[in-house]
Amino acid sequence: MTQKSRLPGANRPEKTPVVAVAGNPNCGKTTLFNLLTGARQKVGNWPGVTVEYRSGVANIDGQRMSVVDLPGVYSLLGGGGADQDVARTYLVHGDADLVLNIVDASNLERHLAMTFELMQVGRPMVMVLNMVDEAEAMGLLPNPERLSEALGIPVVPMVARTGRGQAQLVEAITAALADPPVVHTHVFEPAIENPLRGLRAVMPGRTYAEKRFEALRLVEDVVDTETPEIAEALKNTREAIESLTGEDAADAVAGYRFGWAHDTARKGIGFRHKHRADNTMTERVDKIVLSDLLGVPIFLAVLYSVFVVSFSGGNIFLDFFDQTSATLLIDGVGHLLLSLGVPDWLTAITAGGIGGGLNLVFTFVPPIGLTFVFLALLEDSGYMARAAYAMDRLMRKMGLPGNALVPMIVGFGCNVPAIMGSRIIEDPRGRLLTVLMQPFMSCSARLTIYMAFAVVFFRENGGQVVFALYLLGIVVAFLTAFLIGRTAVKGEAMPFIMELPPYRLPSVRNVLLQAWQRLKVFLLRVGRVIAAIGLVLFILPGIGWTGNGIATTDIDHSLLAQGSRALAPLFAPMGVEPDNWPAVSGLIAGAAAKEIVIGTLNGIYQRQNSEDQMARYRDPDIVGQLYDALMTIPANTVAFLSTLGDPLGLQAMSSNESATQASGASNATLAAIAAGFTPLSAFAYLVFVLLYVPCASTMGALKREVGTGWMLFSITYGVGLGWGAATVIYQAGTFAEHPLASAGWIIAVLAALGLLIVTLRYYGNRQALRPRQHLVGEQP
Amino acid sequence: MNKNSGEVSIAQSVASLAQGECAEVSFLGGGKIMTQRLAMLGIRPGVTICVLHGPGGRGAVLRVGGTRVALGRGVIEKILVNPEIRTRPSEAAE
Repeated sequence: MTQKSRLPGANRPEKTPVVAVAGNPNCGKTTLFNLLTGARQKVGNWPGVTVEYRSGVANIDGQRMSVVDLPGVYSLLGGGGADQDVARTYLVHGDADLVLNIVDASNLERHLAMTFELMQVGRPMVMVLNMVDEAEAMGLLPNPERLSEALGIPVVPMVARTGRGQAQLVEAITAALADPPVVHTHVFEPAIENPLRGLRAVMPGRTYAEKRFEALRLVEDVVDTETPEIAEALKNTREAIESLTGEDAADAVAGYRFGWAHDTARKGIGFRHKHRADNTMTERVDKIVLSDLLGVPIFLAVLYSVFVVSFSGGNIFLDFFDQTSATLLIDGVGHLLLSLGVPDWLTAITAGGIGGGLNLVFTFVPPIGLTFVFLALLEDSGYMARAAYAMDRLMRKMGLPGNALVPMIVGFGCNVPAIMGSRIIEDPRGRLLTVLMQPFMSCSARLTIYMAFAVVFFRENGGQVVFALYLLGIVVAFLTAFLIGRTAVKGEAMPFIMELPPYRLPSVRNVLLQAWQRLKVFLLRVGRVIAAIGLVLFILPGIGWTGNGIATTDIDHSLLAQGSRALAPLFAPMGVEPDNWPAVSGLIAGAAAKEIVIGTLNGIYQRQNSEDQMARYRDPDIVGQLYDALMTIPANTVAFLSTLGDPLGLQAMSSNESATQASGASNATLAAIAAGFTPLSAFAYLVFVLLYVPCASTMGALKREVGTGWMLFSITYGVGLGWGAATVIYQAGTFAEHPLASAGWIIAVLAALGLLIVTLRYYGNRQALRPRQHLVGEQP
Repeated sequence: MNKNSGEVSIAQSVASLAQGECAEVSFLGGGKIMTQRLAMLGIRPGVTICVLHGPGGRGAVLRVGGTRVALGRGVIEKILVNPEIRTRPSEAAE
C-alpha cells in the first residue's frame, strides 16, 4: 500500500492532471464526482483492500483530467479503518495535483476538522462549500469570501445536487491547475508545534507530510510504536506539550484542531436568525421509522417490497434477456462462425459453451440490476442508515451489525448482489460474517430444483417442504455467523455509531450510476468465471475417455458420466443410489449455476441431440426469435401483476402442471427423478442442493469481496455442511433399517463438526495473537 | 425521566436524559476506538448535544452541531453529560 507505484493511476501514460475529491461521508462527495465525470467512471478496489476505488475522466474547458473519488472519511488520523488508511496514503503518496475538499455548509465546523488535516498534506487545494441551500434554509449565512480568506485557498459555494455553482467550480479548478495555489501546511500553536518537531525528526517516511502525519497519530494516541527510539521521542514530546499547555498531549492536539475548526467556521458562516428551524420533515419521518414499535416491521416491509419488485418485476424482462442473448450469442454467433468456415467443433464450443455461459449471465441482468437500483435508492434517500439503527439491537444479539439483514433478504433473490451489497457494512468483521452467511440464503435459482422434486415427491405439502428449506437456509446462515464470530474472528460487533443524513429525494443520476457500476462489475468479473465454467460444462458431456484416449462420445460415456459414476459412492450416505449418476451430474453442474441443474438432467435424460444445435446455427431464425423474445415482456407483465402477493412463486405449487412448468423439467426428467429417489432421499438431496456451493457467480463474488482464502473456506464449509446435513437426515430417516451404520454416519458427521469448531477456534486464537489484523481479504 | 434532578451534581449518562433535552458532554467512557469515532462525529467533552429520538432500548439519536447521530444503547450509557448545564432545546440551538 505504501508503494507509490502500486497506487491506482500511478503509471498513467501521458500526464493528465489528477484531481482528488476528499470529504466526510454524506456531504455530497459522490454527487460532485458524478457531476464532474458523468458516466465515464471506473470502479475497482484499492490495492490490497476491499475499499471501493472510483475514478473517472472529466473534460473541463477542453482539458482532460482524471478525477479520483476518495473514500468518505471523517478524519485522516484514526478510528476509520481501511477507508481512512486508503485516503491518507493516497493523499500523502498519491499523484493528486489538486485536492477538492468538499464540505457541508450546514455543518461546517465538523467538516473543517478534516480540512485542517488535509492542509497538513500541503497539496494545492480548492474547497467546495456544498449544500449552501440547506444551510440557508436553516438560517445560516455562508460567506465563501471570508472563509477563503481565513483558509488561504479558493472556496466555491455550490449545490452539487442541482449543479448550482458548477461553472464557478470549473473556473476554480482550471485556475488552480494552471497556477497551483500554495497551501501553507497549517501549524499549531508553538506550545505544540515546537515539541512536535523533535518527534517528526525521528519518524520514518519519505516526505515531510508523511512524517508529520505519523507523528500526529502517535501523539494523538491513535497508533502505537514499537521502536524504542520513537517511543523515547514520543515520551519527550508528550511531556513537553503537557508542561507547556497544561493539558494531556492528545487532548491538546485534538483540542487545538477542533478550536481552529470552531473559529474558522464562525468566520465562514454567519447567522441570520438565532433559532434555526429543525429539518421537520426528517424529524417527523424518523419518529415513525425509528419508533420502538414500528421500526422493525417497517424495515421488513421495505425490504419485502424491494425483493418483490426486483425479482418478480425482474422476471418481466428475464425471458427477454434470456432469449435475446441466446439468439444473438448462441445462434447468431454459431451462424456467423459457420458461415465464416470455422470447423463445426470450434463453432459448437464457442457458441454453445462460451455463448451459453454468457447467455446465463445476461439472463440475470434484470433481477440483479433492479436489486442494485433499489439498494442505491435506499442508500441515496438516507433510509439505509435508519434501517441499520432500527435492526441493530436484534442483530447484535447474533454478533452481527444491524445492516447485515439487508444483504440477507437480497440473498433470497440472488446471492451475488447480496455478497456485493455487504459493502454497506463498515466494520470489516461484521462484513466478513455477513458475506459468509449469504451462500445459505436460498436463491431463486434453487427454487426450480425444489419445484421439480416437489412435483414428484411432495405433492400435497410441497409448499411446506419448500418453506422448510428456506427456513433451514436462514437458520444455517445465522449459525454460521454465530459459529465463526465466536471462533475464527472473535470480537464484538462494533459499538453502533452512525450519522443519520437528512432524508433527501434520491438523485436519479446517482442511483442509476451506482447501480450501473455494480452491474458492470457483475458482468465483467463474474461473467468471466461463468463463461469459463459454461465452456467446461459444455465440453464434459460431449467427450469421454475411450480406449484411444479422449474422444467425442455420447453423453452416457462422456467424462461427465464417468466422473459422476466415480463420485456417486460419495453421495451414497445421503441416499443417492450408485446407478443414479445423473443426480450427481446435476450437482456438478449446479456448482456452476443452480439454474442449469434441471437443464442438465433434461439433457441427460432426453439424450439431447447435438445435431439439432448445428442445424439451428446453419439456418437460424434470428428475427423471429427476437420478436418472440420481445413478446415475452407483455406476457410476463400480466403474469407479474397476477402474482404480486407471492414473490417466491409458491402458488405454482398448488397444481402439478404449474409446478412442472415453473421448474422447467420435462416429463421424462420427472419420471426419471421418481425412479431414482425416495421421498426421504429426495429431501436429503434438496438439503444438499440448498447448502453446498451456490454457483460460480457466487464464488467469483466471494473471491472479490473476502479474498481467495475465505472463498475456499466458504466452498469447503458449504459442501461439508450440506453433505453432513443431508447424511444425517437420510440416516436418521432410515435408522430402523440399519441402526449401526446410521449411528456410525451420524456420529462421524457430529465429530467432523466438532473438529471444525476446534480448528476455527485454533485459527481465531492464532489470529488474536497477531498485532494487527485485517480480516477482509486475508487467507484463513 | 430525570427531568427534575438538575440539582444532583453527579454526572449522568445520555441514557438518563429525556427526549428533547439538551446537555453538555462532560466525559466519554468506553474504549479508544469508540472515543475516536465519537470525536470524529463531533461528540466530545464540552459540546452540547440534544436528544432527538429515544433514549430507549435501541439507543438514541442525538443532534450535535448540524447533524443527527444514531448511537447504540451501549454507547449512550458511556457518554456522560453535565446535568448542571442541561437545557431545554429552545435555549440550546447554538
